[in-house]
Amino acid sequence: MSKRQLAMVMDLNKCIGCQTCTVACKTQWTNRNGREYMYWNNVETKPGPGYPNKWEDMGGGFDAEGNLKDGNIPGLSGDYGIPWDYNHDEIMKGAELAPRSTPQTGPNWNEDEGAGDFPNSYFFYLPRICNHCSNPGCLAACPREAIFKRSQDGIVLVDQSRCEGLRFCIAGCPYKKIYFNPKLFKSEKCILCFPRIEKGLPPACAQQCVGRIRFVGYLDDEEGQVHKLVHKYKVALPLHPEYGTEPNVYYVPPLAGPKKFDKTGKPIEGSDRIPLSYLQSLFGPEVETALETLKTEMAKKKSGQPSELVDLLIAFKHSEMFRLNVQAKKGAEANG
Amino acid sequence: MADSRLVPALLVTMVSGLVANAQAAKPPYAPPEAFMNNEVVVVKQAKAGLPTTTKDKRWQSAQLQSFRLYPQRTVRLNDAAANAKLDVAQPLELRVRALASPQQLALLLEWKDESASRVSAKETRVFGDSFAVQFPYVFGEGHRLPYIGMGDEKYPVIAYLGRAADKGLIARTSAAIGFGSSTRQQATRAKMSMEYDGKEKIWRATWMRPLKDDKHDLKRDLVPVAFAVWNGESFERGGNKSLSSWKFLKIEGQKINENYLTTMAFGYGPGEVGDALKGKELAQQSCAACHHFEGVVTAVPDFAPNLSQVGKIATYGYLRDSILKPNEVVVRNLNQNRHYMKTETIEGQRGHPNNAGMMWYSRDEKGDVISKMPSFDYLAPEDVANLLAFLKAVEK
Repeated sequence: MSKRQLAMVMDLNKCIGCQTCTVACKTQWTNRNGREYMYWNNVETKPGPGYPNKWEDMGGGFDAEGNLKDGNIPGLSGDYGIPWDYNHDEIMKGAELAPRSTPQTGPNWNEDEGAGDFPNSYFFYLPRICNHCSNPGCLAACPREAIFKRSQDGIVLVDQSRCEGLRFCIAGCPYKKIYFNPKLFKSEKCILCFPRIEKGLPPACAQQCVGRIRFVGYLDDEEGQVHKLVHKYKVALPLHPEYGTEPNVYYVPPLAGPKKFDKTGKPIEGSDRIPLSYLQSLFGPEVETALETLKTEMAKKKSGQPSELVDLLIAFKHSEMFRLNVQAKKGAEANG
Repeated sequence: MADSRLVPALLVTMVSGLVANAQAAKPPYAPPEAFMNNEVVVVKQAKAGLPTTTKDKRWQSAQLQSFRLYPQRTVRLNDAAANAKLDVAQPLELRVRALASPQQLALLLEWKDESASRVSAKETRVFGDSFAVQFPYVFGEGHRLPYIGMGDEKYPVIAYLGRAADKGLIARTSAAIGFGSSTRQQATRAKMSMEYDGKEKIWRATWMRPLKDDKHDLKRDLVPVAFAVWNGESFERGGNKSLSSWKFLKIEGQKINENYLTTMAFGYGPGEVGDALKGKELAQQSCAACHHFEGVVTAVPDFAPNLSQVGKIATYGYLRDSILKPNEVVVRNLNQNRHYMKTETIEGQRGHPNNAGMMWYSRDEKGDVISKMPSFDYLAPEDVANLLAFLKAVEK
């Protein structure tokens, strides 16, 4: 376990699914050398099978007693999807734009499909990176103990010199956020842009986010937004807490979805299209309280009263969303 | 019936009388036939030079030995697909031929496989059919065998791995001190090849290295060796594999150390092993609280090494040592982060501490390993003998 824990909060109410984070990550880390199929950051439509396909059904994580559970390993062709190219050279000579191979599946294959029947269908976007868990399933699964948590910030990394490409880590991670590089025969994953972190910069996905949905900071920094959203207001919740890995990416659950329509096409006041039970299945039982807190604070702000929470979530200044140069309190090696 | 080798010895005694008495009192040790049949490959000198390919006719001059390899069940890994295959896995027959020249040792290994699986740079869920040959770094009189699953801290092993890939064979030489510890070495390299015979559905692999160099000397009378095979189709890699128990290469032309041979052949001598049924009763009383074996699954899973088919990969000597001197022969724990204490937290930390109760050993101030298993050295010798018989026979 690490002395401090860096964490990220993503406000799902502000995510527009533009994939700028995905592209920022891909161009920085995964557009080459056996990583072409990997999305260390992806944005998927929920409800939906996500990326890799049906990752929530693939096992891993810990049982109620804290014992590692068996899991499966996604295949490149069926689960991640083999990346395809387009005939860009030929369209200059008059050809129609077409993929060079027949796409079978891929990230965003089910984009914007969601669930529910017209006119009451619904969806929202869920950006996902490695959760840099406090009890990581990947770390526990590696028989070679090649995966470690950095003491200074809790970032989970693979020691490439110890990794032998056995892939038990992939079975162990319930989020399927660790990938096998078949060209280099090593496991690879989101590194939370640690070379940027070490220079006081946020990860590329957070830096580039046009919706300003991502806060980055240390959980023990009580003045920081991350601590306040997670611990003070308890509106930011981990994804699938029942997986037992203690994730350190937190989500402000989607709140202001459109209302349902009745048979005559009129909006039903006070209705929510996204069923609470669905949000609970993603973010655990605390989601109800979190949504209540958000509603109350938003009403306060609307009526002209101050609300620190809503001001935080508005994120007036992009630069203030990241607090990376804050030292741990003296004598306190806890991480919040 | 008296061993025929006793006869000349007795004759010498009679002829030379009292003077030769001391020498003749101890006839040359003849290992029991079953030990020779089950555990030993006789390595003949290749008079016409060593074979260079799997099909080389010179292999015909080698003795054909056949060993059974059993699925590794001592520790359970976490790949659901691999575990589903493991649950129905059958033992595998490995045919071994060995030849030596004054400088080199060569092996030909053959095993059945319904289809060839090779690692590919184009898939994430494909595993390569593989084989490995393992030797102790140190062996001979006065040394016990390393733990079969990649050695232990006191007795490291050197392991040679060959893995089928779509672009030929991937070869690795590693040193190891137990599960998960293998580390690539610049040690004595072996030449390896793997060929799949699609018609007969057989993998054939060759392995050759110098008998002796400054790092490792195999130019000895009785060389412990172990084999492993991975079936890629069954998602086997790392600890998901089939392995043999320690076997021995008896290299022709080297003088036999009888003391070492006697020690290694323990379990095959008269009276050394007892009654398996009585052993089973005792095991159900004494072992079942911590270990799983043959239908007995009362213990917490992973609380201790699983004993299913343990006798198929462990020697009698190892089984005896684990009962009487468990601190000497601990099995390396798999990653201890696999079990954590959900009910316990460390103040200020989000993560939970590991469940120390699931560790198989601890360490004293000197760093020596203390097994969680108590010594059963208070058992009567016949009880130990009965347990050995049961453990050698125990199924999954």
